[in-house]
Amino acid sequence: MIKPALSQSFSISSHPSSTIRTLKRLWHLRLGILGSLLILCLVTTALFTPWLAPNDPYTQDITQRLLPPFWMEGSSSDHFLGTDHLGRDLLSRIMYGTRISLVIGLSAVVLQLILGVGLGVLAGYYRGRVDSAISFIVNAMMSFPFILLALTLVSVLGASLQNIIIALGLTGWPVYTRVTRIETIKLNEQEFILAAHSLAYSSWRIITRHVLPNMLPTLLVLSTVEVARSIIRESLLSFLGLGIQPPTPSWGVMLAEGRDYMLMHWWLAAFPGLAIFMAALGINLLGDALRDYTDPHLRKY
Amino acid sequence: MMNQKTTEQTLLSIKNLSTYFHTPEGVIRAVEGVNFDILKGACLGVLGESGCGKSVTALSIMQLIPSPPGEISSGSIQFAGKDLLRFSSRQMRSIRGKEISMIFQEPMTSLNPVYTVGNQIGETYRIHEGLDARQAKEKSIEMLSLVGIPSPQKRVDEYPHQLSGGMRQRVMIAMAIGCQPKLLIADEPTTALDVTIQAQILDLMAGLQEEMGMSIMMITHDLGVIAEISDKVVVMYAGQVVEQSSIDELFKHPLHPYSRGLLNSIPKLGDKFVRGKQPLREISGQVPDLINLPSGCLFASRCPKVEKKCLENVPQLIEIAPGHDVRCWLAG
Amino acid sequence: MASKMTDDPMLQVEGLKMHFPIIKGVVRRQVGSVFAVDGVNFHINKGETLGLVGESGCGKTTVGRCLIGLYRSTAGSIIFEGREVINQSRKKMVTLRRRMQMIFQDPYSSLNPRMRVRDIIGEVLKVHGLVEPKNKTQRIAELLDQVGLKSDFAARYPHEFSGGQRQRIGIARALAMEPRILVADEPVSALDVSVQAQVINLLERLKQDLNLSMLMISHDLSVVEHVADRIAVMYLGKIVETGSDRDLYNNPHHPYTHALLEAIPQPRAGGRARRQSRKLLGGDVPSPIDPPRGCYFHPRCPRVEDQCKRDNPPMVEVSPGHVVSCFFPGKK
Repeated sequence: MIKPALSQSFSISSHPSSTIRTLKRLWHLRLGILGSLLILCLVTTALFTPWLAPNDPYTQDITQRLLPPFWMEGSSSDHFLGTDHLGRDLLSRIMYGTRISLVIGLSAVVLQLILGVGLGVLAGYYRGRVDSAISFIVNAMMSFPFILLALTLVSVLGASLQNIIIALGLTGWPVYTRVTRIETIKLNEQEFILAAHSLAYSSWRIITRHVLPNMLPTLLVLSTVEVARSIIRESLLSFLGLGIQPPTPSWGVMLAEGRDYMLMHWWLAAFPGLAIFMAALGINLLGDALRDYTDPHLRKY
Repeated sequence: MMNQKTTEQTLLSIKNLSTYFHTPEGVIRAVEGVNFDILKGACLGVLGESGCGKSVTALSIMQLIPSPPGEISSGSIQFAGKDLLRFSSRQMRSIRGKEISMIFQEPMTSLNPVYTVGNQIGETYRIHEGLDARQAKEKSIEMLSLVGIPSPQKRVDEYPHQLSGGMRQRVMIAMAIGCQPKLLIADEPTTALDVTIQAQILDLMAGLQEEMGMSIMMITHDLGVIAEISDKVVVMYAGQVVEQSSIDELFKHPLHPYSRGLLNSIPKLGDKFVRGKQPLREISGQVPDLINLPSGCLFASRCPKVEKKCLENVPQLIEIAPGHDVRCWLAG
Repeated sequence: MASKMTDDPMLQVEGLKMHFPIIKGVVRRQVGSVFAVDGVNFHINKGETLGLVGESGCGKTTVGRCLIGLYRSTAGSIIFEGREVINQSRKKMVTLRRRMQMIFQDPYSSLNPRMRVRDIIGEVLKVHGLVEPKNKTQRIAELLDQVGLKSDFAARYPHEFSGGQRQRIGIARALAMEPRILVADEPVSALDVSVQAQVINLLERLKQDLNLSMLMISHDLSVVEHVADRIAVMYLGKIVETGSDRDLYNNPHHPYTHALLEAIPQPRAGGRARRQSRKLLGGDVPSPIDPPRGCYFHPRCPRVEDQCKRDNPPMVEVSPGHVVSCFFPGKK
């Protein structure tokens, strides 16, 4: 009934020493900036690839095949990061791949958000039978290996950009539902939601104005993780040959193609892999920074 | 303050204790120059609102101040003639739970939900007295019946969630007094409980104090609870002791305007029918920011009788009447 | 005060029951019920404050929430300003219940942390079309002024305020609906002692100025007695005694009321002696899932007889307006 006296005054545990805290904040800020820079690179590349890319990603030149990157012996000044087994420019292909990865990552997450958050809020807000039914579906979905589900979907629908997005969207939403449901239930116990009910606000208003905004930080973090994960999953599908079809340059396709040359020509797989890693890292860092920014408690700092 | 004769009777003596927390916003002066003594077998009430430093004082005695950011920056804590602030952390661990025990406000969160009650009470015996599991359990049952828990043989194997709030606080007390500590620090032990249960717990604590000759430091914001259990009382405000006296003296002749304000601001049962209904007398304003403390008296901004010198000079804790100390320029 | 009070019931509650089903298993079978409120009758007159007092789990909060429409009650009738509000269409219920508003307990969770004060209050005005959009800012300033806050606070977020200030914002939000009855559910128990008086006085002043009726729900009999004209005492989902504040204090007839009055620690000198002399109520409150047979209070009752264990006690009017649910009312 009564709040612990200590937590009202100043909670001891939440005040690390000043130096540590300042360092942490700086570190945080740095990581946020780093994340933003990475994302900026990613987005710029995606938007302006046709002008930025040094070569056409599809032009094959057997005479120039398997050239190493610029710092190694036998490299060519035309091909900064070297060429693949068909003599296509690796850098250009990676740059074009950025577009596909971003489109897939973002679209899949939007689809997941709509499905997952919608169902999660319904389950958490109305509870009862609605909740039981939704929770059952979520549990069933989550006990199914993602790859099996996605592979089935893609093989039924056919491998195309659109269908990969649909497959990733349809398989990725249960995480959101789980998180959203719990958050909604927690928020529903908060007195400001009770107050909203007692002020006779409509359920729509309560959900959109009071429940969802208070989940924003959680959803933001989750979404960034999922954008990154969707990019990785696309690569995985493409790697398995059920994603983007060659010769379209997707990072996953490139990774798959590079696999056969791993021992002698490691860069063919390493650079697309690095691209995936950088994209995922940047998105995650930005997500963390955004979460802090959108929290009104932290805004004054 | 204390003459030579009474020092033998003194169990705990805090001198000029200051505990600060270093935060990016500045230094929080949670406790500033606190002095008081606890006599053997007596109950000292520490009265104050949240943020007044009463809990931090208790944690300073136990040396459970998280450091960093916290730091006991000056003072001494004499316990049975030894300065606890000079103890190593290993020496402190042998004091905690054995010589000095502490109970907290939330009996639910203070008990570990995954262990049985008996397991948790028995732990003290296994650590401090080296008993084996069976002996520890027997001792736990004994303690449970001492704190008035019905059918202790059954309860000893139950988990905290199976007990009511009052029962849990009894278990906490059983754990705390297991090794017959000389001092029991109770931080708002009844605040989360219902009044009828609170009455039971207060009786239990007072009874144990008498039987075991233990001293109690009772920290609370509740003037009623303080009145019912303590012999002496220390009133704290913004990290300082502002008044100190015997319990009856405080209620009969409160001298500090803060103590007086507190007494007047709470509704008292039946007063309405004696004096007619009057609005409660509020203490205006708020507790000062512990980072940017005002110069002069810390209560000045809320004091109804404030004068020029209150804003300029810091008042000292002065003995106005025998055993009655006040930190106020206008007292006496 | 008394002149404004008429015997014209603003709110009449009869046979109110709220049973929460306990549902278990995959097939969602109901395995039992929590009898949170189990047949409660009371009324509140125009301009009157009714105090509803009881310990945690007695159902007092549930009563408040049933009134406001947060819970759909299992049975009973609630007549507000002459009209039944239970089992109405949503639209009708909204208009009927608009004039019944709630003040919540925890000022730290009762305001949406992501909205500015002006939006928290403005939303109420907008949703219900209570003012012209162009007058909204002015109305918000008016409401803030009414609860003693500066109008430039409107642009701030809740976390920038102290507990007492937040509670004022919550009150302003309720007032925006232009209520006739305020249901205050433990409005001060989460606040610091010195701030409680401010909020209690504010509620009293608003009640006078706006000629409101009030239901004051609290575990703290001292607070309830201070503000209430009449008091109802709840125990385990039932009202065991109702009467004027004076009757209840001077002449409690139910053994539970008696015990409550005894158990409340008094902030007065001589507390230790008082504690030692009082008769304690033993045991814990039984579970509302499986209430005892007969009188719900009999397992803890000092005057229990065989009859109490068998039958439900009748409601006895011991004097005009003073009703007790006991076989042996007033017996010591």
